[in-house]
Amino acid sequence: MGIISLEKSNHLYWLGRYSERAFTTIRTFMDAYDTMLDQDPNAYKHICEKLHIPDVYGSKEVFIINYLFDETDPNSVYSNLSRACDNASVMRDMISSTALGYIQLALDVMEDAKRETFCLLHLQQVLDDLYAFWGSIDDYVESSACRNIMKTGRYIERLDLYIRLDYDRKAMELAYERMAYRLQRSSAAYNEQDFKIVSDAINNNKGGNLCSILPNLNNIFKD
Amino acid sequence: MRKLKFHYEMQLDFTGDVTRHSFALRCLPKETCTQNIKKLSCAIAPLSSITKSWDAFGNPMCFGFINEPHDYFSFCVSGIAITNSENIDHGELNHIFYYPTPQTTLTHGMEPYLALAEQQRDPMQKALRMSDELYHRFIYKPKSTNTRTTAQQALDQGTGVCQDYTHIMLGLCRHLGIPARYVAGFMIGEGATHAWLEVYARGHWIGIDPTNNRVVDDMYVKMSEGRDAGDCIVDKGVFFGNVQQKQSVFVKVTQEPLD
Amino acid sequence: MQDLIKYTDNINKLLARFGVKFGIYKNNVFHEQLFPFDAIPRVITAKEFDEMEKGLVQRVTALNMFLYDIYHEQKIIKDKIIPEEFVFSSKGYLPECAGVTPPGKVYSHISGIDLVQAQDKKWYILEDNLRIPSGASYPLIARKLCRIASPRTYACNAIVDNRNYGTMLSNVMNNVNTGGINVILTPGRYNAAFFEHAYLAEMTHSVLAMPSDLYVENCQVYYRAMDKPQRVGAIYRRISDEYLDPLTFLPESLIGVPNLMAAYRAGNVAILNTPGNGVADDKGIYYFVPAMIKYYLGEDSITHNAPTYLMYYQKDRDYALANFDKLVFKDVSEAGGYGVFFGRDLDSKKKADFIDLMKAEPRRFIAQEIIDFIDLPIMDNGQEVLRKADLRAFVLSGNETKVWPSGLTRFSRNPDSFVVNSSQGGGFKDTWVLSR
Repeated sequence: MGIISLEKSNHLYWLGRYSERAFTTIRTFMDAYDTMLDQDPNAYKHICEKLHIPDVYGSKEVFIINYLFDETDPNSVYSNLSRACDNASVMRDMISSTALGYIQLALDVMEDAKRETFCLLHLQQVLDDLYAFWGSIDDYVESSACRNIMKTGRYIERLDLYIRLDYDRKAMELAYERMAYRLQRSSAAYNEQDFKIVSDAINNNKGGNLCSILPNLNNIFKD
Repeated sequence: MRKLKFHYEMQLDFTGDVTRHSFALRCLPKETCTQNIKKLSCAIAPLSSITKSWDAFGNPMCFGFINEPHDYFSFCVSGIAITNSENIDHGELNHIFYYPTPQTTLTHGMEPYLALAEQQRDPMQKALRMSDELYHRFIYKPKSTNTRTTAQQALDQGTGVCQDYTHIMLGLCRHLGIPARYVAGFMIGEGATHAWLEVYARGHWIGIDPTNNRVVDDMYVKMSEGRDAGDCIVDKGVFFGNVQQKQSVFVKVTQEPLD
Repeated sequence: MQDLIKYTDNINKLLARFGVKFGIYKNNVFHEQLFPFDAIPRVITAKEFDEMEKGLVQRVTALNMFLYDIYHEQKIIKDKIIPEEFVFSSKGYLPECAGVTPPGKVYSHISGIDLVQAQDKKWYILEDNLRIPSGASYPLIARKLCRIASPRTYACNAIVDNRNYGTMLSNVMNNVNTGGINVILTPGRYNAAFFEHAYLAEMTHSVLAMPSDLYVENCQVYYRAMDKPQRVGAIYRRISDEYLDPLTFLPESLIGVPNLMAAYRAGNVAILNTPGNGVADDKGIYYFVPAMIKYYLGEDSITHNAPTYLMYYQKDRDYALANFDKLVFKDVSEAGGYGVFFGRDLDSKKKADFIDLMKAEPRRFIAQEIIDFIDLPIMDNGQEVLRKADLRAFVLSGNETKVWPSGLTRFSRNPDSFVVNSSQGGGFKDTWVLSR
């Protein structure tokens, strides 16, 4: 069924954003975890700073557990994934039970990891499930408008995080191109002026910090 | 027989814009064997698409939807009613009118009325006797009740408005197994809408106005009827918007010479 | 079958993965919990199902005729088969529906009939659910997953495939659709049966609609689609009558569609199931179903009611008072396993109070003989134990009335409990109908 209401387009958009947020923050976490092993025990502080989240953790040990699993922390990976799951479960009729199942699986792995002794292999499993989710979206979602809205959300989130985390120019350009491609095919109404500001900034990027365009980026999709 | 000219205005003012406003109005006088409606006009603003239909009790209705932002809503109904109380409403009896509704259920405090009713054999006389007693015991006091007040609450506190008089009477009649229905409409004069009841006796409906202690005649114009006030609400609406609303109503019914 | 049981945990994991849950409110907080699946199926033979199907089709046909009659001429009242107060003082009777004829005269499109099997193998009807019976999605998805977990079981047991429920349901919707899309209307994410709403939308290729997705203009229902509004022709609504339209029923309802009833009355949309069906699945009306079958169809009832006494009738009341301890009493206005208690469980004070209440409001109560049902085996920590269980059969009425060859078998968790309602704990089983 390709008929999407405004409310549903919001759910699709945020499903894309939250699943990407979980995905990229897990990868960031894994890098930081690696650094904290034997190089810089405070590496997590940089992440908090860059992501603009309050450092409520105080130590690397607390960060490792709470940033991943604390359901009361709105910035935790768990919270983001469960928001993705909430948005997915109201979209079952469009995205299919199969695709929804992968988000649920990812969340279940997080639950298991929380109970058992946590190891990075759990996170690898979550990443695998999220990859499978996006793969199943291409196969099971009939409506291209529906896929494009989800992917618009996905790449807006990716660009947002890449900007915050100072990814290299090439990575940002790639995220931007994908976002622009999906946005224009989504048939969703968007804020053209904000889009133009973002696209100018990316195209004229000389390597400086782009955080000033984040408000525009987050305002492109009308939700 | 009389010729009554009626004019009914209602305006809702919102403190801000509302959108997605759906409404259902029971504001049009009803065509019955005791009243003939002519030159009926109904203007609803802001302009919107209106569908006219009838509800399950045969009351005329207007349905509509206004999507765009607006900060007021109004309707104005006017026309001529030729009323004739000599005609008899032999309408079929819907047995639902035997049964109390939550708003018209009485469980106590009925003794003085029932005692008087017991002295009468005829259902109509029972109803009239109770109406007379209610008129003398109950105090008309505006704003002492609201649209959701039940017959029991009103009876207990002893004050109310026409809706409460009517609900208590409906409760009493139905308690005695006399079918009765709620009526919303106008009465000759100026002011607000009015309510009374109709009792089914000897094969036809007769109106009783307990608020004025009189039998309904050709000075009344009927809009709608139902089990209780809930079935006859003039303006029902829902909308999006966090606003306060203020309602003003004006009714004027004047007599004109018959042609 | 041992093979299937071996995979119970895997099946439950798969159910979790696909979000097969139901929600409950505990202290006003919404929780979702898994609905535990027991792999030992309830098995119904072809011959048994045949008989059951004939009975259920007859029953639902008569109930649909009853609903038409009640909202039109009320002949069954005039002919004194059913006392009128059972209709007019029923909470389920909606005067707003009088005179409206739904498309195809179908009122109960999806009927959930609850049955139990007694020791003598006879099936008894516990209650008819003609409003918004839920539960079909659970055995539907469970079957799909069981076939993955244990293919062998399905290769050698001659089990009738039940995975056609989505097709059956969409045919039922198409049959009454007045022109436009089919939607499943859910009150929202925090409804106990939300999984089912979303899953059935997927299985029927309908649009899952939240109340704010729909609006009525010019007495037509529209779905607020992103590009342009889509006309809606049939609404399988999972919202109860009183919340359906704030301009007709409860004005405080935030989950309704304003003026939906006006569109329905104008014949511009089909609502499944039709509003006002509560008058026919009331526990008081249940008593009259066999008489109803005789009256409308001229046939004897094939299904069996549990022996029921209506406290409204003096003779029945006398019997109930004389046999108080061996009866179960039910408040006709309650549902979901509430308002049900056993005479023998009351102390003398409570018993006296209840008898007073029953005399004051005789229409409110029925009494039934306690049926000694067949308990079903379930696996409990590796042990096979017996538990009370019922069966909800789904009867679908489109251009013809059919019984889904499956059903929801629910069992009680607690060994002493007679209550198998899922809102009070317990689990479910698949129901196999055999082709031989």
